[in-house]
Amino acid sequence: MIGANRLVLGNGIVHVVGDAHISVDEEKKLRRQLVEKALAALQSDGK
Amino acid sequence: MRIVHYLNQFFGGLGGEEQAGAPLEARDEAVGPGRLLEQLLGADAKVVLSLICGDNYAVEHQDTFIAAALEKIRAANADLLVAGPCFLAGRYGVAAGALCSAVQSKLGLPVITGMARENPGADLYRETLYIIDSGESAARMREVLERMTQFAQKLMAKKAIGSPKDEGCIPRGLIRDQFVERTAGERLVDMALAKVRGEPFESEMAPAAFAPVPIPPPVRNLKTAKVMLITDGGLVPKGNPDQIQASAATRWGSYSIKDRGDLRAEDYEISHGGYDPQFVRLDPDRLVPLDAMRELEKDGAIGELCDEFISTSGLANPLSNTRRMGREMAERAKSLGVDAIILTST
Amino acid sequence: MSLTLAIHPISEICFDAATCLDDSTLRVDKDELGQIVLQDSRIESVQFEIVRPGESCRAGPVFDIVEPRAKEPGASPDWPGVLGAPQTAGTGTTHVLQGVAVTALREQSPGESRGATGYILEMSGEAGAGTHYAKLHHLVVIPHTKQELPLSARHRAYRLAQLKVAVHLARTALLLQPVRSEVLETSIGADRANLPRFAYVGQIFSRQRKPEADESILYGADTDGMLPTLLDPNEWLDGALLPSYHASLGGAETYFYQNHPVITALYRRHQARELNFAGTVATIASADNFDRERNTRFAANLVKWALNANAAVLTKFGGGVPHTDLSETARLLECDNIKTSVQVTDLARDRRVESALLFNFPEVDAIVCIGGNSTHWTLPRVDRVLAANTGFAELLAGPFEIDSLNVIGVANQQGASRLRSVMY
Repeated sequence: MIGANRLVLGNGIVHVVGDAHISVDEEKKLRRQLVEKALAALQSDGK
Repeated sequence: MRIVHYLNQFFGGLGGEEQAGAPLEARDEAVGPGRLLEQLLGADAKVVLSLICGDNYAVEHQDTFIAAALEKIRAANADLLVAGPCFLAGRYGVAAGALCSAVQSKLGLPVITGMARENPGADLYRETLYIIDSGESAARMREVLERMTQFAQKLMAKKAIGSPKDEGCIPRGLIRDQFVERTAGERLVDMALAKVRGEPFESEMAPAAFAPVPIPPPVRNLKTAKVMLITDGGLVPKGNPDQIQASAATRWGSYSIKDRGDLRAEDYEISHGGYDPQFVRLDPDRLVPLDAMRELEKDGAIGELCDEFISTSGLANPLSNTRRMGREMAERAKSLGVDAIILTST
Repeated sequence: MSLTLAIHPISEICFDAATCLDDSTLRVDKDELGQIVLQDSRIESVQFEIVRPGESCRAGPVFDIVEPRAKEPGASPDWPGVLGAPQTAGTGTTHVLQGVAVTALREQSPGESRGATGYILEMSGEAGAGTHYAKLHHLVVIPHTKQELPLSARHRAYRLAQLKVAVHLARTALLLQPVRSEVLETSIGADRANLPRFAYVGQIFSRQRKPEADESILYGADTDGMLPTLLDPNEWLDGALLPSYHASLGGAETYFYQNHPVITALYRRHQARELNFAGTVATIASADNFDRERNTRFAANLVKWALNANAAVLTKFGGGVPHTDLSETARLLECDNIKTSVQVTDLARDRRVESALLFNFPEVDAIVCIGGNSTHWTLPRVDRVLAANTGFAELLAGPFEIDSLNVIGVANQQGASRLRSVMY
């Protein structure tokens, strides 16, 4: 990827911040974790 | 042949950087390198108008500058506009490109300019204009003007324009097709054989070099920051009010999520085509994580979630669209006081 | 391995009371062919049509194009793994009816990136001039399958019918003397040791989709779970390979496996003692990044260790994802000082160089780009339109606008295209 250093790997193309194969509660937890990773990346240097 | 010549403060003889703010002036004769230009174009050619402008003025007041220049060029009854050559001077190149582009489209006159490949003006105008590759050194002024005049004569005589290499132009970054004698299979083997022998070969395609975008510094204090959600997964309100195309989208939209705790399936649809949308249709938060962001907002992890989220489709979308849309989205975010963006991408 | 091609150039096809090869005229008993095709109960009826090179004729949507070939006994059967046991192809003697194509039509549009018309066979005019297929004599096969069949069953029916017809026609040549013979073998004696060793790495399938039920690709197997594998060049030419039902983008036909442009070019330079044709790798485009890392390394390793190559020529099967596998494999090879050239299709719908490639590896700098997005034709009304139903016949009657990429043979991922991109 050309220079996009603040990159967090999502959970697949079809549900980037979700998961269709786990329970609703587990999915909410997963989503929160991914978003928290994104927030951490925003606070990082990005290198 | 009546020629208009555009020069900056330096080549126009006004002075150096200290004269970069000089507004547009007109002279009714050739100035500086314009005299050589006149000579090279032949006996019946005359520079009837020289437009000289300081580089800062031309760039900072571009609209005024162009409007005024167009007026004068119209009045001069010109046959040709020559701008520069600008070599590596960036503001000069950008101004020359803008002026040539305006004259070409609004007055329908033949135009020619010259600058170095790395000139930002080349990047902006390579597609619209023929730009002679001047290289960086102004010491080659005569040679560059010769090439510019040869090219200008071709343009005026409406002769066929050859490849950039043949004409000495900066490649315009465009592609066209050609039927050839040899099959692709033969061409592949030819190229590989040349490569292994250390011989020159001509590749039929080359990767474009992209100027790196400087990475912004990290968010200083997330707890007071305003964060915005953006997606390229094509999530749009039901009915797709902005008619965002599923593929090669030229439009984007900004949609209110004010007072919403999460995104409801019945309010949205997907305009994409590059992924199976069934899971996001059932719960759009799987693409745009509104519910998680609201929680984090409530917990004080972020200062505030922006009232709107932005969306478009990233599918098969060339840079010519996404470059512009990205800039427009950034403007919108800035106008809403956003400090940071989370972009979810399919 | 040594393969002898016994070539019988054909100058005419006509329908007659019996199927036989009469000098350079191929006589075809329509009813007999019909009986062979209708052995498959999935097919309710079938039509046959003869089309001459350069004729004012159009047919579509095309399912596939196959050159009639038949093997003499003593080596592998015809289409091993599909019509016979999966024995190694590429040895013995194979008779070729050169200048003939057996062209099967679809009953439904394939959809996907080729739109409503799918691939069109265009035999004349500007479009015809851009494709090798307009120079051939075609025996067009139009099968009508049972109504309620799933698509995979239809595809299978077309596939088998077409191959059986092609073999049956070529069998007319089996006991006859060919006009000329070509011997294809890549022996590399000690006296050639100084020549650069060349490998061909060709994708034969893309994991962007799962294979259909009964979809035969490699000796009848469908490539699911496959890792890159070594093949002798002759195996590509002699029936080991069939294209997927979903060719997309540049297109791939059985005809150009049998007459593989890259393998043919490498053979020619091998025979001219300019290089040593060290062998080939058949590979697949990957489902995701993890799969890609595994496949590309595997393919590169085979080129490096098993073929000991100095250079490699690479082609792909499919669109953007295969493009990435292609460039990554080339990059890995270049890291080991194996010089590469790669063939890409035209991704730049906006006609800009910056949109053309999905990779930027300085070492992968020898790129053949088969173009196509700048070329469109207005296809005129023609004297004959061949199609499976009146809907398509009306759609194809003309005049209508067509992208060059929809005319079969104009762009082709096996290396047959005479179209190229020019940067300006």
